Amino acid sequence: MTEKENSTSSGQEIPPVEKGMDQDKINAFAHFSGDFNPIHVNEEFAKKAGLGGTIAHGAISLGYFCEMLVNYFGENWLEGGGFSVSFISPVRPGYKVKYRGVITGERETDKGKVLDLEIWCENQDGVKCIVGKAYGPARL
Amino acid sequence: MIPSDEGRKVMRYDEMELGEEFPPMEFSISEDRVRDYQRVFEDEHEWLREGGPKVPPFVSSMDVIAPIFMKYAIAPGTIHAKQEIEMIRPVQPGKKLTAKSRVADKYIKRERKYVVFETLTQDEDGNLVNRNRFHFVLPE
Repeated sequence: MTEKENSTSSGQEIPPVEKGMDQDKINAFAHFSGDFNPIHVNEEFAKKAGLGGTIAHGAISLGYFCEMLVNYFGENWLEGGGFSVSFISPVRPGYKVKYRGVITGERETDKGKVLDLEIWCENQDGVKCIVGKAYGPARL
Repeated sequence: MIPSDEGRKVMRYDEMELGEEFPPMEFSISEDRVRDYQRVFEDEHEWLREGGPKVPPFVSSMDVIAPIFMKYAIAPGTIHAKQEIEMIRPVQPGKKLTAKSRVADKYIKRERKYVVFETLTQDEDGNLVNRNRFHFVLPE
């Protein structure tokens, strides 16, 4: 039987994930993760550190990238998916963040065909906060 | 989950040794932990459905950082600069996992001090389930 594959073409955008960010969500993640770094949860400290106020944990956005990639690739993404991202600008409370991905190509690996993507997230003004690359198995 | 900072050395760039290995950590991810993640992230995927229980990729990738923070406390002002995630096998709730971590790299770029931690996570049969690299900028 031929394995079904995602029908794709280079340049195709995958469905984005949109999330609002606020201090309650940051605080909830601090409790979930145990990461109480004051740049995330202490407004005064974050201002003194030159950040202009608290910033969201980068890990929160990693969760949303995972969500976007699982939505597209399905649970197959848990076996042969991955990504690498750089945090280039903070995600701040009050932002509306869109997590996006565009297919850039495909390649054969020893585990089958893999799709490559550019991924990023941007705030409501179109400013990119995180950029990187992702991949996932082409099979459905 | 990152433990509290009590009784641990604060992570300092000059004290981190390239290749330093951390004691392996045995742990499991409970269904309650998955539910907590879904509440914080508003992830509606049916991870815990009957017949197909799996741990969301974000949880299985982020909880593995604990061995590093068992030894070192996060220095206030530490910035998460980059993240690499490679998903190899799905993780089932409640199953024993072992995470092994090391200092994979340290470097100075544009006067910022970076430390890279690599964590490999195995299931109880010794199969690799994921690989993560965390890049942090440490404050002075």
